[in-house]
Amino acid sequence: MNQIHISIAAEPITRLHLFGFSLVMTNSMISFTLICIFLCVGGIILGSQIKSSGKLSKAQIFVEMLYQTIEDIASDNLGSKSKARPYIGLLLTLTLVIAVGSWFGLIPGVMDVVSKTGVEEYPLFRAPTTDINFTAALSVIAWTVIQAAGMSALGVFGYIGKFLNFRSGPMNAVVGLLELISEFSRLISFSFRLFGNIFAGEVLIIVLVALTRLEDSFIGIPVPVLVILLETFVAMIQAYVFVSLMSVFISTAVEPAHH
Amino acid sequence: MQQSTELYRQLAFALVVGIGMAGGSIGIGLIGGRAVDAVGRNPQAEGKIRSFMILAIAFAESLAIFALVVGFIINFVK
Repeated sequence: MNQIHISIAAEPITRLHLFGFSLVMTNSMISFTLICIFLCVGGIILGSQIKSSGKLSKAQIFVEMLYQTIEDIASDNLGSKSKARPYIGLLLTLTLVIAVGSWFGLIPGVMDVVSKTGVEEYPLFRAPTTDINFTAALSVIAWTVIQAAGMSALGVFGYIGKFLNFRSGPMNAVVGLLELISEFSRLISFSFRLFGNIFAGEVLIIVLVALTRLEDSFIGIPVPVLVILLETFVAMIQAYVFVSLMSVFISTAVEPAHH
Repeated sequence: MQQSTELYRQLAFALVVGIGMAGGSIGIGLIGGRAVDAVGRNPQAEGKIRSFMILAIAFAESLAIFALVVGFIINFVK
């Protein structure tokens, strides 16, 4: 039982010297670099093969279905296709990054690659969405876009006036302050929801693998396979939830205050 | 001394996750049940109800997930 290795924080692997700064590369950063390269290369290859007529390739049909799904989510929440248009690129990117970033940790064997730095042994790869820094960065991006959408729709003072309105009675002032607090709590809830879901799944898989492994052998009972299937589904649901919450919050940010 | 600290840590982990998850799961059960009711009354609105349901479940679940994260921090951060 003492082979179980669970760490909440991502472990440092190497140091990167860049422009006079010395940056720590953690294992989740290494994994995310790989995922970024994979997504970029995949996108470029798919983009170069795109056709508008004739027999479409299966990959193009899949990508178009994905785009259609995201467009449906965004236009359902924002009202119309033209209103949703500016956000679809970001929403699609976030979906792909969250889904692929969570699936990365579910690839069998990827967690067993170990890097030795000095005396300590750390896994070389770690799913980026199981690192709280990564999910916090995603939620800061989403939150900034939400605020910017509100400000560009209502004007900077119009948007701030939604939260700080002391002119229309004490009740509205208190409600506005509560709205302000809930606006900041979205940062926390966005990042912790994603982190908690994916990390809990990984811990579940690690514990199940340790429990079902037969003594002194590499052969285990294939119970964790079912959990890996479940976690694949959970990662998709989390990507969907992140994107639809973001479009709901954009639609509440752009609508004018009513009082 | 060391052993009793470890014992309390595991007890706190179990209590935090158990109690925190109980509330979230009651909420998710209510949401799912009401969504099924709504689909039964109005079957053509199924797609819309499903997306509302998943959003509401995400809100209810995030509180349970907070409890889980707190539990992980209690148990694994030393």
